Amino acid sequence: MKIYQMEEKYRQFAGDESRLTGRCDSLSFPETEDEAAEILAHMAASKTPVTIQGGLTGVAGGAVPQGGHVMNLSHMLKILDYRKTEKGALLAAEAGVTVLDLKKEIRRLAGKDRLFWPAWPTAETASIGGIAANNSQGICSYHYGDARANIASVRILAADGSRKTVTAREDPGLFGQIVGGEGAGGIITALELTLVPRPESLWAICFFLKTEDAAVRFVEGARHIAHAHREDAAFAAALEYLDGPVLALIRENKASVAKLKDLPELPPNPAGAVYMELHGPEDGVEELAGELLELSADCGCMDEDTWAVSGEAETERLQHLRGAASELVNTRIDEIKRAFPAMTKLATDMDFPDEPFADTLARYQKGAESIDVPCYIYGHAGTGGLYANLMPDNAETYGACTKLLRGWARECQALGGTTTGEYGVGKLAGRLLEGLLPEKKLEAFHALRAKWDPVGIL
Amino acid sequence: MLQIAVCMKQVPALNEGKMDEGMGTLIRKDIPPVVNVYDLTSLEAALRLKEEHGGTVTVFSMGPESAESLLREAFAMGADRSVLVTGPEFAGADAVATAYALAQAIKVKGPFDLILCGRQTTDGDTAQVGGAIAQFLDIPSVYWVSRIHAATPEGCTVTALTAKGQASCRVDFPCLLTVERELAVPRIPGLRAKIAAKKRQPECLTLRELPDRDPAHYGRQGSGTRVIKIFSPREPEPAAAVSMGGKEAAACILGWLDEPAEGGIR
Amino acid sequence: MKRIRILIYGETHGKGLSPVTRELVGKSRALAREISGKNALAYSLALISDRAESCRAELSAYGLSRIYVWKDAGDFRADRYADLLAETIRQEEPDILLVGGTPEGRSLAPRVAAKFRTGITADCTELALDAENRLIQTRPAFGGNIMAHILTPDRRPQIATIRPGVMSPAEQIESCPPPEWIFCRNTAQTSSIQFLGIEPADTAEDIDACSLLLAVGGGVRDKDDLEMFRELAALLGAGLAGSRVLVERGFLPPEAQIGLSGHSVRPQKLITFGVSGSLQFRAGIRQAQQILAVNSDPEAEIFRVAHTAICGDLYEIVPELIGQLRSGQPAIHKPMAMPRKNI
Repeated sequence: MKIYQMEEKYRQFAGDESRLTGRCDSLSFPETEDEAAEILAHMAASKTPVTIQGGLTGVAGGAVPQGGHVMNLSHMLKILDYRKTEKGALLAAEAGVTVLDLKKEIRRLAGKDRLFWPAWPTAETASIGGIAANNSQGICSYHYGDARANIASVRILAADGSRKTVTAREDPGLFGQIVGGEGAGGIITALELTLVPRPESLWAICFFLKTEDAAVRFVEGARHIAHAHREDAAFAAALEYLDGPVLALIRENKASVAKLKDLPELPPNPAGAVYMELHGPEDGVEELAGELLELSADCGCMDEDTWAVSGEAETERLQHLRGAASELVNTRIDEIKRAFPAMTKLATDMDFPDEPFADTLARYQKGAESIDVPCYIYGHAGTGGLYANLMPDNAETYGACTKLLRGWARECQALGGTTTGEYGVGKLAGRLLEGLLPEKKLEAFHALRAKWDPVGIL
Repeated sequence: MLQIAVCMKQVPALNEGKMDEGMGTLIRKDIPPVVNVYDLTSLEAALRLKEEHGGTVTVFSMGPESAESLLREAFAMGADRSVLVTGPEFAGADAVATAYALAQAIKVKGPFDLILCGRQTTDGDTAQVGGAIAQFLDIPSVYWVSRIHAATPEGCTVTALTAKGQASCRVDFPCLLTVERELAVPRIPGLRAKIAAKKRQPECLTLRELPDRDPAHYGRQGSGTRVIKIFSPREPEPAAAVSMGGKEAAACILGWLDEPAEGGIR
Repeated sequence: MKRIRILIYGETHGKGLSPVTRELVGKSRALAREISGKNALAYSLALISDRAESCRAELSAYGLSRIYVWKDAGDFRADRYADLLAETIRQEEPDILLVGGTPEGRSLAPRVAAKFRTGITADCTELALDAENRLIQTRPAFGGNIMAHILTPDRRPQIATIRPGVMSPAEQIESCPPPEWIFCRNTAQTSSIQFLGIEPADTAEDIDACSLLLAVGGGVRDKDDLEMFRELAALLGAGLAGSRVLVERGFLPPEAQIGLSGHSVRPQKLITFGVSGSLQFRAGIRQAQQILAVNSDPEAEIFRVAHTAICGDLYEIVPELIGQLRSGQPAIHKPMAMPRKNI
């Protein structure tokens, strides 16, 4: 049983993408479920709190330790089973497997079946355990659903040493609490992913809009078109938004971000951009694209204001534009942090149900303007789950931002929405949104904990 | 007005092709084909020259009928014409046989002032086709072109990598250039152009329509090289870390630097 | 069996031979040793240059049979040089033509291949002779994940290009029989290519393009420490890159970042100093051919992928390296055999 004392060289494990810094006394990197169980038992005996880590790509601070022991699962990398099914396949793998590994393994195992896992996020070093714990939403969650919808079962190792496999079909209640539970119920050591066939035809299109009005009209129109076709063979799989400030950030840093090198120059000063993916048979996809083309023309797009590619390789190229948004925002946080060490990610991850896109956008923009803080907005335009990233650069404005976030959370709760969608509660939201977190989620969390982790080490 | 020809190729999309080691062949059918990314740069360079000087851009490719999708992408980007050399006689061609077929097609559809080829393909040939085409057409060639500065009806000025470093030189037309990726970032077609391109067809050329109709000069028959075996490279194993002080480590590193590069590639 | 003849396309660099030419000679000699029967393989050289005289002594000591010299004072033009090399081939009738994978060689070789309608394999990583003394040309395909053995069974010459640094250079032989020097008449021809001049070198070299790369990581404590790495890189002619940690700290610009959110690099040789080797860093070095890692922690993740692993203090090692390079007397020796880990 290998337990390492904390030292300087493990510094990278004291934080995740939230930019919260933590501390811990010891670490471990178990390679099997048995090893993890052994270590967990040891920690339980000494009543040492344990923080679980995967790929450290989380932005809510879930993986940031606050003392005690860190159990990092990135060495649990085995593919356990692969079974073809009617609709695709079931792939069972240990929790430490990353999106990158997963893509490679699927190509190897599925071969000419050409399958994929729709819930994978753009962060390729994210681990599937973490994705499940957070119930992440990939770029195509708009059509294919979140992580919960694409996992068949999870294997749990609880603090009391018990191990159990929980399936979505047989025990949906418990399953729903564990996936997205951010550790509720125990450690996810392995999971069974449902793989589905890649679409026959895949188009990725980016629309650059000249004014914000046009951008809003386009999103509303695209939502409408997507909704109309959602049951058809050809459908909109992704509908994402990047606001003006995010696009300006991308333009400024394009030369220094490796993955953006393959993309041409952005059209001048777009007020917003919409990224969409269309999946389905060739003819259907083309027709759908035609409808969106007309919509874009109505919203003032000239031919040079749209980018359209097809196929996996080219789509990945265009996806980098959307992926760059998160990366560059996080880089900006790092820059601020150098002068203002207490800086952390301050982003919304709230679902306001059935709200016009214009209202969601305006809320965040007006709020940020009212406290005179820059704000970068991007995210799932289809569902309205936008990430508004606030960028204060000193303690005073940081405080004002926290107040603003709480205000939005209150508003969200009052309207019946959820205040943390996929980023998770973690420690960050826990701190920032104290008192405003989804009650049901917290209740469930505590209930599971009481049952399986009476000592409260996880 | 410049008449420009661009040679483009489809290659398997991924670097992780599945191999049938027993047969010594690559299982290509699982892997969706894409345009060779280096050729997109050539096409982009051609389109920019056309935008500046007027003229036409014609894309040439050799391959099965499925290569039509590549040529439609070229239309979407702005190519005026596309020519597909296709037929069973052309299958299994190596670099020189491919170059010969393309050179013949260029003779049929030409004359052209300028022919552009990509630096290499992701699936093997390192820029051999371009040079061979130039020889078959008996025109000068400049390789490793990173910039095309100026063009007149008689020729162009380019920056190219030579033994002495980056050099600028002037080349008379007709000539062939192989272009480096850094020359241009290929444009992404607009949605309207992409949809419109779906309706356009390439011109197909079969063996009968080429000046030299001898099948022995094309395809597998016309190829000098044969792949006799394919295998997975030996994966170098990671080494255990050896503790060393400053002097010893420095000597070790310098020795390591002097060793010739290993054969297998990870 | 008939005697095998190899013709090497020779290149000059500065006042002497190009390193790649020495390597092609070295490989030819190695093939000669492998083949059974004395004098079963002869190797010759073709040189298109006005610096043949300055290479004379060296060229005479390599055991070459014949050396063809075309005096040419102009700049390299692929079409013209291809004509001259083709002329040499007609005279020498070699079975095999070896050309260095240099900017010149790689633009010349395919033209020659087209002239003779023969087979050409570019960027070979290995050459060997089969039972019938035909050249087996080995090279990677599909981004390096597969290796191929290629043969040109019938057409001649069999043409192969080999990149610099792949083969071992020849050593000069004491008292070796002198080669036959053949000076060919080069009739001046007008060219449609006109060289205008050399352009100043670009300031920063793209780390994507470096064949030798140094990467520094979290083990570097201060921004000022980067100075010694810059010096080391300059002394070695290497590029300098870093891990995400250093970019986050502001020690290096984002363009220098290796990793999933940075660059994927493919150098022939990569040396890492103080890089722990996180998953996202390792994702950026998958295509590096040979990796030497220096880290003070014997359990550092980087050692999972390093071919040569040194557990040591970079603050001791790097100054020592710089000292040895500056004095111009590096202690070159084969690295000692590393025990392989059982994984």
